[in-house]
Amino acid sequence: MDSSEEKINELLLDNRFVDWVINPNSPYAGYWQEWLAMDASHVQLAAEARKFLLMVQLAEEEDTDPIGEEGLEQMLDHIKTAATVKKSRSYRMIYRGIAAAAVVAGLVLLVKWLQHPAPLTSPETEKQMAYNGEVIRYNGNKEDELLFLPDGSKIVLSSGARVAYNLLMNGDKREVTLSGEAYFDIAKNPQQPFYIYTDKVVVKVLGTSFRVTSSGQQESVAVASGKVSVYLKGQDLEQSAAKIVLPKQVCTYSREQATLVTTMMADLPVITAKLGKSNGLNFEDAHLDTVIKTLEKMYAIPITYNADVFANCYITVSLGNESLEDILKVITKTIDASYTISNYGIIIKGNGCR
Amino acid sequence: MLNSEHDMDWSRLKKGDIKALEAIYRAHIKALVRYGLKITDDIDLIRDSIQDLFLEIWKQRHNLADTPQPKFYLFRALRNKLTKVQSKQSFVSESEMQLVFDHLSAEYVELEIMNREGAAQTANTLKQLLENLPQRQREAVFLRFYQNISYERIAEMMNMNYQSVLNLMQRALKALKKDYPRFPSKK
Repeated sequence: MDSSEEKINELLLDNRFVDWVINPNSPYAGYWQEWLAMDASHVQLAAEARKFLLMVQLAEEEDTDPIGEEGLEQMLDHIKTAATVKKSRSYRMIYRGIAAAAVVAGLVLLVKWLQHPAPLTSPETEKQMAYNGEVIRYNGNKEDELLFLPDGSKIVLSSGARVAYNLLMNGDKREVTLSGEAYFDIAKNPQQPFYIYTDKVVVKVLGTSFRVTSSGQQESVAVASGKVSVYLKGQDLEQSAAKIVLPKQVCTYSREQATLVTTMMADLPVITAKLGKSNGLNFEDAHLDTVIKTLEKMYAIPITYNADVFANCYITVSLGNESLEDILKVITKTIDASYTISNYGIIIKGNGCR
Repeated sequence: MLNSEHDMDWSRLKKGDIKALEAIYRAHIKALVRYGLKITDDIDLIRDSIQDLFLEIWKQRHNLADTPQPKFYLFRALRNKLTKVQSKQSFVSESEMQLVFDHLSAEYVELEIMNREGAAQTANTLKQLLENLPQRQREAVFLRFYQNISYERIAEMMNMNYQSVLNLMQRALKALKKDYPRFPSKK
C-alpha cells in the first residue's frame, strides 16, 4: 500500500473526518478547513477519502429492504397490540396467580405431612409445582380417533395409542408425547415449532402432515407433506444430528444400531376419511350449550360458564380448523362475552343474550 | 444533531406515552433492520428480535435510563439479542467463530477479486464487496460510515477495545480498496 493510500485510510479512521463528511452540522468543520489550507496535498487526500466514504454510503443505501413498508407497519401494529390491548392476557396472568396460590396452600400441608423442611419457594418453583395442565388422551376403541389440539392441529390416534400434551399449548414450543401410532396434521406456526417425543426419537416440525409410529418394536416417521426433522432423544445437537424426512420418505429407528435410517416408501395411506370429518363441524344457529359441549369434547378441556345467563344464546360457527383461542374469540365476540383460559380450563363470562 | 426530538420521545416514553414508542419505532426501524442484516441473514429472527426489543422497552419504560441517543441504545440492545441467539445456535463462542469466518471470507474475497478483474467497476461492485466482508468488518463499516457512530462507541457496542476496532476497520478498508483501484490513489 502506498503512502497516500495509507493517509487516506488514516482520515477514514478518524472520527472527526467521518463526522465532517456525513454530518452537515459537524463541529469539526472548522478544523478540517484549516487542515485543508495547510497543504495542497491535503485537498487531494480529503477529496479521495470523501469520495470513498460517499460511495460506501451509496452502496449501503442501495441495500434492499427485505421487510418492506407494509411489513414494518405490521410489526408496529404487533408491538402496539402486545403493549396495550393486553386485557385478555393480563386476565390470564391474574388467574394463573390465583391458581398457583391455591396449589401452594395444598403443598404446605403435604410438606408438613412428609415431615420435610419446607423449602423457600420462589414464584418460579410455585408455578412449576402448580397443576401443569397435562392432558392425556388414550384411544381405547377399536377404531381410529380424531383429536383436536388447542393450536388447531389434528391427530388421528390409532387404537391403543396415547398422547399427552399441555392443555394450553402456549409455551415457546408445542410438545406432544406419543406412544403407539398416530397421524398428525400440524397447524403451521414457525414461531412455535411442534415437537413429538416418542420413546427413542424426537420429531420436530413446523407445519405438515405425517405419521408417527412408536409401539415397542418399531419407531418410525412417515411424511405425507411438508418436511420434518427427526433426531434421537438425548441428543442436544439437534441441528447436526437431525435427519430431514421429506414426503414419501420414512425414517425408522433401528434398535440394533441405535440409529435413524431413512428409506423411500410407496405411499402413505392418508387418513383422509377421519380428517375429512373435521370439516363437517359446522353449527348453524346452534344453542351455545351444544357448541360448548362439543368444544369440551373435541379439545378435552373443561369449560365453565353460567348456563342460565347464556340460555338465550344461539350461534353459527365452524369448529376444528382454527386454534382453540381463535374459536373462543369468535364465540365470545358473537355473544358479547369474554373468556379466560388457564391450566384449569376455560371460563366464559358475560351478560347473556336477549 | 437530529437527536433532540427523539430525546423528547424517549422521555415521553418513560412517562407511558405509547405514541412516543411509535415515534421512536418510526425514527429508527429502518436503520435497525439494516443493522440487523449486517449481523445475520435471518430476517425472521431480526423481525422477532426487534418486536421483542420494543416490547421490552415498553415494559421497562419506568426503569429506562435517559439517553441522548436512543439509536445507540437500540442498536446495542438489538445486537445483544441477535448475537445471543446466534451463539446459542452455534455452540461455539462468538470470537472463535469470528476467527474462522474472518479467515474464510478473506480468502473468498480474494477469489472474487481475481474473477472480477477487468469487470465494470461501479458502486455495485462496492456493494458486493461490502457484502463479502466478514460479518464484523461489515458491521463496523456500517456503523462508522453509514450511521456516523464513533469508533469509541462501536468498540463499546461490539465489546472490543478501541484499537481492535481500528484494526478491524483497517482490514475492511484494505479489502474494499483492493478491488477498487479507482480510489483512492492513482497508480
